[in-house]
Amino acid sequence: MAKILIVEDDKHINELIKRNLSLLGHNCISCYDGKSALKYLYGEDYDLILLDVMLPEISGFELMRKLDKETVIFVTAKGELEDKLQGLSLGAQDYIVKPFEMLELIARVNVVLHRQHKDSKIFQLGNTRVDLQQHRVTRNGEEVLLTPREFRLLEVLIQNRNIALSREKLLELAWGFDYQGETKTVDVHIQKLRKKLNWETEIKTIQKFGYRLHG
Amino acid sequence: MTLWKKIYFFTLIMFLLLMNLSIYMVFHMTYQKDIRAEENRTQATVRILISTLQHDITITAQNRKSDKALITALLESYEEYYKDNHITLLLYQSGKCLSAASQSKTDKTLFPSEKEQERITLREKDGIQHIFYCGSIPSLGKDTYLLYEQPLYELSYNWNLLWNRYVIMSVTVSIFVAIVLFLILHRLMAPIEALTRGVFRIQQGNYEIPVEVYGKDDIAKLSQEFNKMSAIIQKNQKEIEQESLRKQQFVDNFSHELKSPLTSIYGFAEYVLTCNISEEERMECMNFIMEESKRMLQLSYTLLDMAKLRKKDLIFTEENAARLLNQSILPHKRAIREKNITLNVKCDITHLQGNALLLASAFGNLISNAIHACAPYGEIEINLKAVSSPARQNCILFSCQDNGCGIPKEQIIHVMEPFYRTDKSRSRTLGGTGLGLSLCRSIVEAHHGTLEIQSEFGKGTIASIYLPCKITI
Repeated sequence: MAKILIVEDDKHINELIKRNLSLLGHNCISCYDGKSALKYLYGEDYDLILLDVMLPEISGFELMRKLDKETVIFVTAKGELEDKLQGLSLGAQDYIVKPFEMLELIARVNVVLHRQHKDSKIFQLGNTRVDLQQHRVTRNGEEVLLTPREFRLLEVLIQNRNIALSREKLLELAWGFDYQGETKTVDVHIQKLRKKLNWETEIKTIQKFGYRLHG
Repeated sequence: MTLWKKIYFFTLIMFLLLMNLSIYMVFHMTYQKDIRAEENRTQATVRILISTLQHDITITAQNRKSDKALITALLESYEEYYKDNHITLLLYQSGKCLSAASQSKTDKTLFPSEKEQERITLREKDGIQHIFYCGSIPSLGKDTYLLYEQPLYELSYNWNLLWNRYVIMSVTVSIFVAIVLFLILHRLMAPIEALTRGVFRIQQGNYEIPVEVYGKDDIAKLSQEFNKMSAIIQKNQKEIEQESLRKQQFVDNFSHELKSPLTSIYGFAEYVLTCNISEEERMECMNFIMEESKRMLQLSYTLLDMAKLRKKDLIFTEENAARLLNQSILPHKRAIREKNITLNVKCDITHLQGNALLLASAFGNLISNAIHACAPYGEIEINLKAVSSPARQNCILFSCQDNGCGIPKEQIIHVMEPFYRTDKSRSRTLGGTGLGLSLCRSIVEAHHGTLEIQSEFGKGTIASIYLPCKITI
């Protein structure tokens, strides 16, 4: 659960990012131009700033130069190599080009938060507690034993919770790109997780698509 | 080898060849003349000598019998005389030499043949030309010959001297000519080399340094024209680059205008499909998608309008001026009210010709820009009147003046370009897609009019549409 400032002048896109990240439990604050961003940043600390480059009056790059030690990901339509190089050399953690898929944004945000040690290590849902760092799951205080693969799948569901993931995507994220197997194995493992954690309703089946963790 | 080096070598060789050839020929002919003169002189001399000798012998023989000794004695007296001149006289009889002086072998080739009575030969000995005269003295006996030999000291000496002088002179002149010709040609070729360098520079893309112009001849003229040509090329080059930049800018702006709504539409659709959200939120997102879709539709309609304007001829009708103004202002009344803008409208004409819909759109666009530019409580003045000036005969002027933020001077020329926006961030809140003025200009031009923008940054803007009118007010 991180505190994220979204600096994007297009209200709709700003809203879109905010809603998606909120699903993951992050606390998101929106602002629409550079000046108000500075005002927000002056008073408080943020775990992450999502910064657009094309802002009125003061560009994202200029704003970046005024920041110090902030964790920043650039989210912008300016996709030329020079722009990317400039953004990254100014000290940004990542540089995403619009248009992008939500899952990609979420994955990159997670990686950056993890790198900065600002991601939450514990996920709690009902009486189940998942320690992502120690790879332990407890239910009502009692440990639940999961195979490494099952845990990895659980981790993926948690990191993308409230968002539907296709079977192919789950396979890719939990088994890796090299895996040559069938998506049937995803169904099997989901079943196992449901049984072990008693999460029949929490892990929802999305018809003809995949699964979604509600939490 | 370069041209001028070729010219140089050929000219030099030609010159040296001809000079030396002609001098040599002259020498040769003169020498021959000299030699002939010597031969003639010798011939005459020895003939006289022989006849004198014969005469002497005849007289002496009248008194005494002919005697070999007598002959040689007589000869010796002549020999003494000629010795001072280094002349050798030898008497031969039947191939044998009678004179005591000579020890050397007889050279048969010096003697005349059966048919000849005398023979003159030239031989060179020790660098000196010797002339030989061999004549027969029949009265002295059978097979008797007198061999006269004279070294031509003076002749040889003079000619050697002449020859040496010639060689020295020839070499000196050759060197001199070689140097002078070289310098002259080099100087003459300098303009051509300058021109070649100039061409090379243009190839490298360096248009700055012009070619040096020497003098006023045809090469100089060529260099001048070349410089003019490269100036034109440079200008064209710049125009092409600018045009290319403008096109790139257009594409960038256009793609931004497309990317933004598409990102929203795609994003929200994905969100609605995959996320765990309430029904209420779902509806909200659908509305966002609708809004963005409408934006894109608007954009495509505007672009289509602009394309259509280029192709069709418009149908003009007579419109009520006051009503047209109202139609233009109506869509923006709310914005005017919300920003508390003071609007002054003056209409001095009753009718005007044109396409009502398009004109309303054009006027409306200028009004909308003015509203956007104004700060709260700003002022906008709209005028519709007839004007006539030397530059513009009988025009209708629609002007919209505001006291808003204005346009920086260097951007005024660009504002009518499609998708151009003074706001580099292309922010939705501060302005539109950048097509407004472009479309406005297209509409005005379809009415055979002109659109002018005057502005001062920080003070305000005056947008003016001039429409030619045919009917009087």
